[in-house]
Amino acid sequence: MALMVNGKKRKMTSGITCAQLVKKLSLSREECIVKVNGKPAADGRKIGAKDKVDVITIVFGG
Amino acid sequence: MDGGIFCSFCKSEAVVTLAYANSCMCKKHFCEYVEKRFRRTVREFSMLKKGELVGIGLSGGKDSSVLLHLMHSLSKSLPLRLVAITIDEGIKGYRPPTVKIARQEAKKLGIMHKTYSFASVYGYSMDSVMKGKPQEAACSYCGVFRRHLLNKACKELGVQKLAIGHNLDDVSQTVLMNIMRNEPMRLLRFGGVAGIIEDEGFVPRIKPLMRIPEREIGLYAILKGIPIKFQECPYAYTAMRQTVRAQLNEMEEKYPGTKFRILNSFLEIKKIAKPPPPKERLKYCEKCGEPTNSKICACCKLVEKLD
Repeated sequence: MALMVNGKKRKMTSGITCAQLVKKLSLSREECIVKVNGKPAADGRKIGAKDKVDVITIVFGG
Repeated sequence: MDGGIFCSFCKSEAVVTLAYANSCMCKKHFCEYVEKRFRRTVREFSMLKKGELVGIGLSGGKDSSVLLHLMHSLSKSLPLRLVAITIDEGIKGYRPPTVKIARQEAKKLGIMHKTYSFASVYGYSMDSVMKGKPQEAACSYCGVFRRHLLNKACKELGVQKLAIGHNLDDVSQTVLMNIMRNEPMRLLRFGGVAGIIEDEGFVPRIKPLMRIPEREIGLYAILKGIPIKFQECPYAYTAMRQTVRAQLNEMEEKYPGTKFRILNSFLEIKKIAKPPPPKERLKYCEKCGEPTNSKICACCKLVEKLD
């Protein structure tokens, strides 16, 4: 998969779910959204080798 | 659709999992769900009356931008007059882009928009306040100035209610923080419509997003194409709220529904716990005329300290 985390390229193996990806990145599910091929995806969505994945942190302080 | 998850209510692809509700939702059902909760909260706390002039605290961040759109949509069925109020704290690199978004979004929806800045009203931007000060001072200055200026602006504009974008995360954090700081009276003043102190000097504040988790507000903004800047306030990392936020999010992941349960427990306690009347009658600040407990209000005291 092609993975971007907050605009930065990262490497990760495919075949995992969005929730597992967030956990592997040590992020909180409560603070970010995973987009698969441009669309927000549910936690259980499996990520394939050809998928383009963006993880966006949306919860900040202030 | 390879590896996709379906909406619990139709056959469309799900865009979100709501663990606390044990369901997945597609874009349509999720957006309807958010809009319904917003309207239900407004009704639950009798937040608004037909024909009122309602101010919307609009920073241009995700919460207030979503609030602006939802209030605009509500004003079609419940006739309301709206005015968006932006406070520019003067934080370089952080506030200018969101002030621009606020202006654009208000214009797009045809809502009157007013901007007030710390620098023009108090003579100090947050950046100048913070020069040479310990980082932990930021939120106490910013919070006092912002509340003071919003109230002042509302009265100037003749606003009857001020809607602010506090979400479920904000309110559950506040409940916990008041308990942790042993401030039960402050806690009892908190709620959907803020304040046990009724005074013509205070414009009542309403929190129509208090039953919507912060993440869902961000997702709603993305799905509705509401422009947002996801960035952190450069002074925010110093606040105790950050620690509470992280711990509460960890709890929510392990025990979905925790934030809702904290809010609901608090609202139940509030029903039976009657706060005592204020010890002293409310005074008005000798310098600015805003309501206060002492001769000089907290805001004017801080300005004096800076002068």
